[in-house]
Amino acid sequence: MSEQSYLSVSALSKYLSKKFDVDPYLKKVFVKGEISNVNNRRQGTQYFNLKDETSIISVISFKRLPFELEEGMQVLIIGSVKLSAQYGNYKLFVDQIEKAGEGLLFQRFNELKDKLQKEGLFDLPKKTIPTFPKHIAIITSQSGAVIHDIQTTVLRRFPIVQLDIYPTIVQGKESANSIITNLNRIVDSQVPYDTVIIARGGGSIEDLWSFNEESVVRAIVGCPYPIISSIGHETDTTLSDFVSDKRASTPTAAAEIATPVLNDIQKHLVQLQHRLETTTRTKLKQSMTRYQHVEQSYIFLQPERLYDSYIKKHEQYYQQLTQYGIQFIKDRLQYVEKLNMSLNMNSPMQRVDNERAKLTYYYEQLLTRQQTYYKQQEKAFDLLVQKLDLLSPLKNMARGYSIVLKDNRVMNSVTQLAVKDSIQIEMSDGTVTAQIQQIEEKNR
Amino acid sequence: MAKKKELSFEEAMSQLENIVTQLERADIPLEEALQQFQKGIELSQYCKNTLENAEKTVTTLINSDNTTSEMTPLN
Repeated sequence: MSEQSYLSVSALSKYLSKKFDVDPYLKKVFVKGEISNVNNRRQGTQYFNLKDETSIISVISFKRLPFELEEGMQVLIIGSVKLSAQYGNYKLFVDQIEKAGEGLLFQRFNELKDKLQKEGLFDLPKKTIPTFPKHIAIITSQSGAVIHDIQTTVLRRFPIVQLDIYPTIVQGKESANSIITNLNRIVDSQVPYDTVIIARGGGSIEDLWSFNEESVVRAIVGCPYPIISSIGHETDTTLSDFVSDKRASTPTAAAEIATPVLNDIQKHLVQLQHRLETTTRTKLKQSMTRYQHVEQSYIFLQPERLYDSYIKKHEQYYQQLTQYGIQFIKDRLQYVEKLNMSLNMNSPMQRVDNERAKLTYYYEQLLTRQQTYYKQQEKAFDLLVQKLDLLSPLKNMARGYSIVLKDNRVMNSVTQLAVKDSIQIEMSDGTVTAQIQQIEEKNR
Repeated sequence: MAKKKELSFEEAMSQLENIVTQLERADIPLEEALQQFQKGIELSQYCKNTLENAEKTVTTLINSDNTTSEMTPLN
């Protein structure tokens, strides 16, 4: 072929670029994948890669993204694919981006988490971390800040503990096996470890993935020693953390949990001994004081004072009794006096005297009246005698009048008499008996 | 009392703490208190000795072939 038949690079690139530009599919593609290699934004432009198990594509976004990009995040992107004629590579230009719910690893994480949770692996009783360890085993990378942090922290706090580091691969395909192997070595070791620390620095979910492997989780569960885990940053959580006996946010925190502060213990010990001595001394003093107090009690000094109160009480009662007796008698006397007065006031002698006076009076009156009466009667009698004397028939008879009686009855009419009747004629100086011879009746 | 050697440091510490709080709180008979005091002093001495006699921290690397090497802290 002639040289003219050859295309320049730029011509080929332009051609390809055109092809890309006119392709209807590439104008609007829907792509899903996992974010990786997030670069810092440069003047509002964000660069990152989108990948899956086998492929990777560069992504560029001029727009402000609706969320912070994180490694391992599964996203859905709508955009266009353009070829850069200048560099001969292609890029995905973001129109829209959204999180794909949970990424694949998150999904696996959650599935395994659910499974192990149902199995009750996370609810197993947690072992107590010994307070005063002698031997601590550490599963971590031989290099890096993690081991340094743990070492310095332990040295600062409790510089009398043996630290055994089991260099471990903490990332990648061999990681899980490495962790399990070392855990087994720790368990099989002759050293009676008090605590095991499993630690790793921060990383993406991929980096930390071995700590989410079921085999690793089960190996941790099977370990007879208490395990403190510090995997990733504080915001990262792995399934290994769930089954550890204690989770620390950083390697330093793990070392702090694993060890006490020697100084504090020594201070505490000194304090305890001081308290022991003080309290015992106080107890002895108290006992002495009590003894002295008892010894000086008045019971021993003046035993007679034991009776004082009884004597006083007796006196008091006696006085009370006497007072009550006197009062009682006084009251009775007063009452009798009162009755007596009342009796005297109501005595009948006065009445007797009164009645007697009345009687005398009446008797005298009676006598006076009687005499008066007698005198009056005498006078009346004399008067009557005089009157009678004046009316006496004897005087008439002396003047010649007589009284005719028949059968001792006074006759005052001729009709009472019959001829031959015997009559008595009373005269002043005696009686004559006669017989009627003739009767002459006068006409009136 | 010589059998105290079998005690772990934790046990000795907690026994000592118990004795102190008991002595401080409860009204226990004097003889018993004195016995407890003696025991407490022994425990305290034991703990102190344990701490003083403990070896300084050594960090050992236990390699996969079970060889060991000492590791000094980085500075």
